[in-house]
Amino acid sequence: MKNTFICLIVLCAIQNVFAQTNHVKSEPDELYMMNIRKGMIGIEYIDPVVGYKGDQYFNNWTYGEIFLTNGERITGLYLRYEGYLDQLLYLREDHIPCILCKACIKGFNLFDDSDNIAASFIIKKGIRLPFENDSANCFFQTLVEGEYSFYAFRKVIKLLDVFKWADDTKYYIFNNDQYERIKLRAHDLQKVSFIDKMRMKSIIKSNNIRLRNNEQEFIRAISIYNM
Amino acid sequence: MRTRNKIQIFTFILLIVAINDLLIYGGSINGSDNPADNCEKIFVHLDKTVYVAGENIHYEVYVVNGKSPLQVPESKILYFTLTEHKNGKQILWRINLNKSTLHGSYQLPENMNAGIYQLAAYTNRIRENLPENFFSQELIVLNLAKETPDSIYIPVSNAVTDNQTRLVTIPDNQPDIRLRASKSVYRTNDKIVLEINVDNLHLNDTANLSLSVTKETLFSGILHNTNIVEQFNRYKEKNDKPCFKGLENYTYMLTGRILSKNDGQPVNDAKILLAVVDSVSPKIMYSAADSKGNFRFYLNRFYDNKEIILQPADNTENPDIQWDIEKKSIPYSGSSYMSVPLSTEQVASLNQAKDIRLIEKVYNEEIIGEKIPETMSGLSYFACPDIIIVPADYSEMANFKEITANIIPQLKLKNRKDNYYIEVYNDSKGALSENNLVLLNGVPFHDLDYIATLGTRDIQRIEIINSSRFLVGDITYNAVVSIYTHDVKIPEPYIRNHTMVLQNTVAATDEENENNEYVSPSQSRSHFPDFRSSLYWNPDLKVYGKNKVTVEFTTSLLTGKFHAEVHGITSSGIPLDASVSFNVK
Repeated sequence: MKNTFICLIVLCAIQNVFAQTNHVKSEPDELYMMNIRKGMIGIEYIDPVVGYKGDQYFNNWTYGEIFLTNGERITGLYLRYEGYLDQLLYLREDHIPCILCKACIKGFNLFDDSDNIAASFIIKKGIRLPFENDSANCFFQTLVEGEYSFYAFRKVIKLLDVFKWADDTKYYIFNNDQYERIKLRAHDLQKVSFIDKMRMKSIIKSNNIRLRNNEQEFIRAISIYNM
Repeated sequence: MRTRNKIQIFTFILLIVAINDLLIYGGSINGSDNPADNCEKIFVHLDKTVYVAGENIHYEVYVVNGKSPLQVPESKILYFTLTEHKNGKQILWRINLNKSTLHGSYQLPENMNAGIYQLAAYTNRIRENLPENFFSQELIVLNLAKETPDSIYIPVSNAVTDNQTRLVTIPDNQPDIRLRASKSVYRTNDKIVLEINVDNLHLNDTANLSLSVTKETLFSGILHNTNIVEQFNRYKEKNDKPCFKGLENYTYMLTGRILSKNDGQPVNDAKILLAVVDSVSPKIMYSAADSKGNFRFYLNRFYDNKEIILQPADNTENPDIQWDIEKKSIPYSGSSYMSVPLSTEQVASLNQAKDIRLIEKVYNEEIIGEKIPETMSGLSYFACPDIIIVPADYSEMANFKEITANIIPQLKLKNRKDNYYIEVYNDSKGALSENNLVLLNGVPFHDLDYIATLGTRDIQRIEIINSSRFLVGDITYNAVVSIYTHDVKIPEPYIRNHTMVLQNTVAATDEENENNEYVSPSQSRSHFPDFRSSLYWNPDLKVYGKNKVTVEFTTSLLTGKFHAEVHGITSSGIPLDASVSFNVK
């Protein structure tokens, strides 16, 4: 009797697993994707600076997917984010790196070896960058998504005097159309005009969050604030 | 002991149920409920069956997945073919499908011949797998500029027929529809009230319906009216073959073959560019043919209602190329048609239809639709040129050589053995190269003799991408030179000799174009003589749960027997239809 019940429970569990699997949204079929991938258009990427130490890339060539502004999605591409030019690169079959049209892209995901999303980027339009007169469309890495979103602009700069690439990541916090650039400091986060200073302070204190130069802790604080 | 036995039996039953459910889900995954095995059922309800060339065919489309009617149709494209019985001439258009019920219209060309036509509606996978499951309906099309025919061509199978009685029985507890007229006889300009009830409709269920009220024609035996219940049941009878081929579940697939004109053999390694004429930026797509010469493009909505230009990507001339484009039409069986003479009454009724159309054409208000916003073409890099030159900003120059020599140092137009070629300076390579993509108004253009003749009066602007090599599919160009002329045209000889041109006709549905809504003449503000033969058309009626729907409209000055037909489906995919007739005296 006991065994029968155990058997029944196991079967129900398997059934639920199958039921869920059946409702997973189907992937675009390979023929369609292959056709789209084979017809990609862009310009050849040439390393703008040679001989500098380090590199200007966010990642090594990894599988990824692109979301276009017209709603299409292209999967199964080798992608790389280039932080100096703020461009998305795609590796053609003949191993020529190619810059894709930024204006046509809404965002992209980079996957790790286990096919999980390692990083997710979206285009943010009309961003005022420091020391720039004009606003720009930039690829921002999504760190927290919600009512209050937290993004990183993975900028890479040249250190001319030491011939090195240097990480110059800038962080932005968004609430609907409003956004502010912040540094990874508790003081900066509490100073954001659309954030309730008292509430944030209490979150930081009660969760023992140490924000200084700590991206992960910032992510934690804003995630809790969104709850 | 007895209690223990009961528990064991109960547990056993539960176990059986669980295994059964498991098998069902397992089956879904393993393919018995595979999406590719889910041919659509299609029915099209037309506002009437006798049209005059230039008039709009208004229709409501019902498309459900054969095996999962609750889901949005898997096919995203529905094709319509209007075939003239007499000579097999076809008009082809399509609509974009995004839900099970859609209404729209298609304007018949003014130059159509008068005669009997067959309207067929199908998805690509039905066309490739189960052609017997097309929706088809015979129509009469007349032409104001041409004489009314005294005989018509009809399929032999339609010749011996009468008004068929339906033998479809509706099972108990299935929703059934009733259509009732307030009276059986009306006067002219009288108010008519029709009541629609759907029995056995669940409280949270909805029936999407379309209603047409038209004057009965003397051709009902010939025109072979079908109804949605018959059409959907026919699917059940014939759906023994799975639909694995030809599913267009993303966008429209433009498919074809590229062959050699001399021997009909596939062109090896053919690289094909697809383009449209555009004054803003090129919208180019690339495809490589397989070893059999087959190629395909997935065209998104940007390419709807545009002239598609195909040509080989290489810069050499290919006069020996033959294009075999899949038209997605259905075959015409010309041999099985016969000519049937019309009676005097039938000719008179057709003449009356023409007269009514003439009155409507004179008095009707023209409704100008707003332009539908365009979607982006996809992923291309043409929007970011490195150099933009507007020749009008400089002194007048007679030809392209003068322009390049004076204002575009990166570009050289040279002549070698009486053949022009263009060299562009590539910034990254630091050298001039010939291997460039030259575009005229967005279309790859290899006739440099023509380009050489263009001066500042012809050219609106020149855009150059030369910071890096330009990559299109697996082709690498040194640079891109994109020339836009004031007339935004491609010379006709070039189009004729070097390209394949296709008209990509897509009819807007009412959801896509709000101004496309049907306005019956009685609803319009004009005070014109009202001789409507089509008294009412509403493709968007809804019945919720146990509610009923009443519709009101007026009769016209036309007398005779009128026929009201309602078709529809419930949100669970069950087809419904009913009809009622009344007289106007």
